[in-house]
Amino acid sequence: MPKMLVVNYDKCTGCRLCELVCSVKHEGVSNPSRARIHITKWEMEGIMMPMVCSQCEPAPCIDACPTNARSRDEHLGRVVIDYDRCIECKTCVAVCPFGAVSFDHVAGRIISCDLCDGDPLCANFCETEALQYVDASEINKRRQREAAEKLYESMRKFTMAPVGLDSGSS
Amino acid sequence: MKVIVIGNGVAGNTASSTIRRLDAQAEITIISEEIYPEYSPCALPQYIAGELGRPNVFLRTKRDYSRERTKTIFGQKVTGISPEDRRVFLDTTSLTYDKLIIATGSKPIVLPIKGMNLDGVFPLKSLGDADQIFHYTGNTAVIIGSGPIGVETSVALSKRGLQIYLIEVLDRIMPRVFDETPSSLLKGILEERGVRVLTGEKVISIVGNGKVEGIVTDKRRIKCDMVILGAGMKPNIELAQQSGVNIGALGGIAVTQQMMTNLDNIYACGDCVETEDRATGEHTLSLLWHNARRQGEVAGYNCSGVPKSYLGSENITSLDIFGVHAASFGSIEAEVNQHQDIEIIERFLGKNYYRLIIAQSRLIGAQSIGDAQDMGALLCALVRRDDLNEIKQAIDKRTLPLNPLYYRVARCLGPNIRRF
Repeated sequence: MPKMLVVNYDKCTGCRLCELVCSVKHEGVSNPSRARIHITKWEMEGIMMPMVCSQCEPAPCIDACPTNARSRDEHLGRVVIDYDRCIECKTCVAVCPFGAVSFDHVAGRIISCDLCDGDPLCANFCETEALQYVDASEINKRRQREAAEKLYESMRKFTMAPVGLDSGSS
Repeated sequence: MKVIVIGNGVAGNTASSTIRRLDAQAEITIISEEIYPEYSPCALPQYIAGELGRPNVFLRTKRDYSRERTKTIFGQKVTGISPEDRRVFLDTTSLTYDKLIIATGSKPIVLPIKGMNLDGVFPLKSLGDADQIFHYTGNTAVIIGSGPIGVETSVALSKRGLQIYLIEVLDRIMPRVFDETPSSLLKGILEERGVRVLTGEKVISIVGNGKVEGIVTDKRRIKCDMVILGAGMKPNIELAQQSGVNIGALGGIAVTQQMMTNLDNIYACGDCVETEDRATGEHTLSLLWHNARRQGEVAGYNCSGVPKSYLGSENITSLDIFGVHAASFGSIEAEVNQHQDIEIIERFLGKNYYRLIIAQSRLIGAQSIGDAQDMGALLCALVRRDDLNEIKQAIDKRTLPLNPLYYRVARCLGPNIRRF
């Protein structure tokens, strides 16, 4: 099963290390504006939102591309760009629901996350695990477990029965 | 199953690829008037500008068709269809079909101007047109019509070193896609680069002896060597109409959500059809690449026996004007029914600009110049007909887990959603 880059929105602290390592890897410079991931912040509410390509299927950017420059790489489960075909109309930039596609003015080309060819650096460096590169099947199991634990906690409060967390199984 | 597809654009090709994906046995034939394998008309301005090589305009090679086992008949016109016999007629032969997909596309609207036949007057629709424009020598070009194609062509020819005059009969450029303020901003960018933009001006005639020497408007005469006609496109429906296919009120082939026409076993998709707008539900001619692609896909599915519905056309425009990204979705203020109560949110943020058109708490249009990163989230809100008040409430009360789309829509609505 291909792996997915999963964003846990509540864990992002806005340190922006992902932006730095992404730009260093892809462009050879430490320049967050040239990264394929961006953290949008609402400082007053303490909300930090990583914006990165969800590798959608079907992808609005692929459907909208007027020269078929964008396509899916099934091997890694990612959306890729053929720069020979791209006419920089930026329709992909405009239709991406997550604002994850951008135009790099320095290199003069469209950029979006390519999962670093299978070993995303941002996930490696993210200390709070807001970004994780995990097996697709593992995500479902994890979410089920998280929801089950929350439900368990609220049940425990109601019944006041002395039960340990390990007696649950999944 | 024998399928014949009339038209070699994105609608016809997507339909045929979809059928091949679902049905390995189907016999598929694509018939086209043009001689080329599939190419992208959207790439033509870049080719004319010299920024995209001619081979990269093509989306398929002859090998791609044979790999898909799709037969092609290029350079021949379908002269008639007989729905009763399930037969299409070419000049010297005829072919039978089980299913027919009409994807005849659109053609340039011809203006009643004298001098259209002079050398140096070109429409810009096909690769053939683009080749002629690319090789034509001249110093000054006049582009009639300032829709996105006219503007992109002005930019392309300007990059080739020509002096450009862009003439628009209405009071602003790209009048169906941008309201006054963003339109003026874009006009400013064009003028900064030497393109002369004339709005509120009508071209009366093109003059010259055999070849173009100039044009006459209702205000002046302009000397030029080339005239490009960019007055819009209309559906190519003659063949369908002659064969008994119903045409809608707007002049496009009438189709169901399954892309079926009124005639059995005949489907239609692409620029030649009229559809419903996904956001407003109104009938529309939305002759755009992504709509044609999706319609072709839906036609292909239904043709192969897999039910699929077309959810409606989305009005999306995105273009690059000398490095500035201009985008527009949905309706503009100028085209909204005057009786409707609408709210406009307009914001300048440095070099970036955006404008939201909101009716009854729902986003019905958005335009941006510069950074278009939030436009995608706004497009989702528009298409889904999200209630913006509900989004604001959901964010204030945190009733939902963090939804990036809601947050990104909300921040465009302005600081008034935050209460400290």
